[in-house]
Amino acid sequence: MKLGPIALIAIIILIATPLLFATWVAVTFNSFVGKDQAVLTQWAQVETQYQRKINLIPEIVAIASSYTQFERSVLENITRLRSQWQNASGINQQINNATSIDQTLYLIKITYEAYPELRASELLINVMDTLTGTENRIAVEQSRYNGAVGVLNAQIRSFPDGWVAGTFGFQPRPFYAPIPGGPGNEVP
Amino acid sequence: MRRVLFAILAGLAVFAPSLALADEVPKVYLYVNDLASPHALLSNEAHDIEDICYQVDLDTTAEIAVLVVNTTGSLGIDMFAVRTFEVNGIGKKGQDNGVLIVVSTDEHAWRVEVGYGLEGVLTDGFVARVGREEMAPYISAGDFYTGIYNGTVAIGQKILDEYEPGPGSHPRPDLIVIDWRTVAIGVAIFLVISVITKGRLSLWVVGSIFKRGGFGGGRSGGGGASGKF
Repeated sequence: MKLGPIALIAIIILIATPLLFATWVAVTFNSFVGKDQAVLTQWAQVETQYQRKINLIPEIVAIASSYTQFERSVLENITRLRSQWQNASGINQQINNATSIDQTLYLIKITYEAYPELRASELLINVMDTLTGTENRIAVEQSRYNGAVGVLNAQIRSFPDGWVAGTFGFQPRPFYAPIPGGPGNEVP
Repeated sequence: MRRVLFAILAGLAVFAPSLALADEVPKVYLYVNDLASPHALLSNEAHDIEDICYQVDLDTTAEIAVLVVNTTGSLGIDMFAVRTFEVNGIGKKGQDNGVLIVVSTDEHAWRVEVGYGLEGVLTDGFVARVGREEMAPYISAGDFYTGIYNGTVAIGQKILDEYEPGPGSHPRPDLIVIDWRTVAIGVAIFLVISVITKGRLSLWVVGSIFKRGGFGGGRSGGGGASGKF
């Protein structure tokens, strides 16, 4: 039996369409995996920089304790918050805790800025510069994290890629808010 | 119709900031980039600073870039520095051994952005001190050259003293960049002088065509320090 050209084309289309469709699904799936992984990697960067800030706290407290300008209660509070952070279980608890830490560190920073005589201490200047630098690093990694989330979420919400996301259970990731009093978000 | 218009506007609102963001930082390809107008540095002053950058690059492969602008726009100097660093890839690829010194004349602000690979040598505390003590006092008095020169020397010396480049980095600065604007001006001057002097050319023009720079794909993550002057 000899097939006519139309029948031949029909057979090719019948075979090619599912193949193309499967290829498209695979490519889109892989693109979601890549973008989701980019978000997780970037989140790890945010955490690393945040941990760096937490690790600075004992040094700040040790140096600041020798100056009467810093309120004792604030220094005790930040030490307590640090150990809470370390014992925190789950990301939500950590984020709540992080907010309190940021607010308390902000109190320490404004005290430092309010008393020019504190700038006579080389040690204190150094640790405060390190704190400022660390907060800037956190802000940078957060904005990169948000950038990665933006890319992922836009694709999840787009058509027809969103259908692949829905089928394979890719969820939009949450954006992260900048630290209060941090760079680019100064409390007036 | 109204719905379509709304959709277009919503689309613009989403995309406009990211487009604007991409345009807000300059492309730099030289060690010293004085984009301020009027210029903050004379050309021989820029050359002096460039010499330090070149020497540091030659000896250690670390790249120091200097950028003077009038304003850092809505980004603020901290984000401006990170984005400029990112877009231009200051430092060698894989080594991330770049440093970007930014001075913004209108905002009276400076920032030193340190690449990942130099964070151990150029600590936030060190860089903040250099900015505060070596740069800001001169720049605030209008002496951009001394401020930037001192800052570059302090940072360059620290890199020369303490930085060990990793394996696989290039032994020599790999690019010599031709500054086409100088070429154009040079050719124009050359032609005018040729006409006036009836063909006796001036060789000095050729000497100023070659400026040095060229960056290799380094990254930074907000390390360093900034301040006001």
